[in-house]
Amino acid sequence: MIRAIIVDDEPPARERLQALLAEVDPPVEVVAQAESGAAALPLIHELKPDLLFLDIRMPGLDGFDVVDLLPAPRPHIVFVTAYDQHAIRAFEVHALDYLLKPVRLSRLTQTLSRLANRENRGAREGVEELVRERGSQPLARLTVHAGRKLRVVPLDEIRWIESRDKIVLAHLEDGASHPTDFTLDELEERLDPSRFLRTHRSCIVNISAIRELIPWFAGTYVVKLDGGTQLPVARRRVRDVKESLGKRTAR
Amino acid sequence: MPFLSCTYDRIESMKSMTPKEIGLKALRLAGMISLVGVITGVIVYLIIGGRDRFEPFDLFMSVVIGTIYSATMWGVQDMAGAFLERHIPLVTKWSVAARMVIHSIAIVFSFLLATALIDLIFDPWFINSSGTMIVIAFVAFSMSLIGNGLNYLDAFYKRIREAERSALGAELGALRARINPHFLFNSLNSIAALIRTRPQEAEAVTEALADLFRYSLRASEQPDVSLADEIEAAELYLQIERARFRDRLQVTIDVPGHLQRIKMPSLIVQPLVENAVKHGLGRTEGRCEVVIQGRETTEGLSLTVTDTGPGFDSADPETIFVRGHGLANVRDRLRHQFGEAASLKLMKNGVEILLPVAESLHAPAARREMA
Repeated sequence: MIRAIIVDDEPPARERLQALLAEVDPPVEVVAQAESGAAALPLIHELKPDLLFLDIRMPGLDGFDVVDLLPAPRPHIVFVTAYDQHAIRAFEVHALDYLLKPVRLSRLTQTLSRLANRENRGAREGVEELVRERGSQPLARLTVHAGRKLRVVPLDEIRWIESRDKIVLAHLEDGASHPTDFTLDELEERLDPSRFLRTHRSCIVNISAIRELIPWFAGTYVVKLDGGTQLPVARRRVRDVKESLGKRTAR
Repeated sequence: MPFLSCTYDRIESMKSMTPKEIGLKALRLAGMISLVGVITGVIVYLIIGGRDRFEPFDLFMSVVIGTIYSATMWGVQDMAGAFLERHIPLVTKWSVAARMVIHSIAIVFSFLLATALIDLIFDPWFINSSGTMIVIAFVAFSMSLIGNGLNYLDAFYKRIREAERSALGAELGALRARINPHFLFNSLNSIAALIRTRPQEAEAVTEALADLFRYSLRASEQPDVSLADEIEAAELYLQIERARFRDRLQVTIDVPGHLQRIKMPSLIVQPLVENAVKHGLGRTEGRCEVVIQGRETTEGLSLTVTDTGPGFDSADPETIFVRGHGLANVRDRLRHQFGEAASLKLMKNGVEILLPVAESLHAPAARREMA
């Protein structure tokens, strides 16, 4: 049986979709409902559904943000929207599966049968394409693994991110550190450069956490964070670090 | 024969008048013609001097001839005017100019016609000098030109004022209070979603939607309502949105009873509440509270609609009051109705409107208690 999760901030919409999914043949089991993107991510990670019905317009993380933060392998995604023309254009461009609200049983059946016949490999590639395209946009949050749960962390709460033995660890304000699926290179590209700074091959630092820049040896430096943590600054990155910090103080 | 057809129009239009009206009109016309005739006659008598003493006969003849001029020229120009009215509408300044030119030609023509007429009736003893001709022509021409010019300009500006008024009407029409189509769309979606799973709730939402639209339709006929009506409409709106968002939408309404009877324009509160739901709840994960609060101030009524959402992105009103925005519409309608006396202010987490209140808030309440 196909297992699905429904993500929508409006309860009636979730209930209707669940009711429709019970009527289709073969039926789809709804293993969870989530009222926000942030609530959905851990559920998706934990329950590993085959199918995800994802509303686009939601407070906090919208549907596209959820896709951005969802580590691969992703479930098959069917986007749901009421009237977002911008989103619909994106669906069309990437040949993604989408449903318009109010969701019709006939249209839902059609989408599911395409999925069963594996006709929409295009849609899966489309999602990859969408994620790559959105890769150019700065991230607003980060997903980290907290035990078996996937946690969504606002960027303000991240003090620094380091890679250690092929694991990328995000160190948070509360002292905890959690692994994330992003690589440092990806993060360097996708984090807002006015807020986060790559100081070293193994390290990205939240600029607002930096307290001191201390000369070390052989032209290298260390940055001292507010908690006393010291992190290395590579020689070839010193200039960038100084510039970023200078810009910040000048502001 | 355009001239004749114009005259025919006039005769047709006279049919709708009572004999008394026609009589009055004719009398007034005759009076005007004689007045111009007397003035022309006296001017001609005075200017063409050479008389040592008062010559009553000369003056009389001058007046008679002046009146003939006046009547002939009046008649021709009246027809010309009717013709122009019909064929050259006063739309631009160029049409004013075109009318003036055609009128001038008509004046020259009518002057020649009147001269020929006088030549026919009297011995040409009177019009013995080109000087007389020139004076009569000049007086007639300038009087006619000034009169017509003023008439035209007046008509032209009147038309411009009318156009402005209708443009203002259109603008007011665009500002007319109405329910946002997006809201209707979302509500229909909610109803579609509820019919299968919660039919009774779907029914209740449909009823609330009908009541809210009835209120909105009534608003076009009855622009002023009471604050109580406004709160009720806002409650209908919130009831519908609560079906959509359930517990996520929390509502508190705090408006003292004695303020409820205050008269105010219709559909002011609902758009403010809609704004709070859209931008407050719509950007809050989990619960969001919308608070409607009414207070009495020295200037009148203060009504605030706040929410526990993230607040406005920017304090810059220009980015919030973009055209077509619900708040901009409310502000513009308040401005049209009250001018500077009312205002709509942005607060950190919502909106405050200040409305002038015509009558004392307490006196009628006391009277009611006595009764």
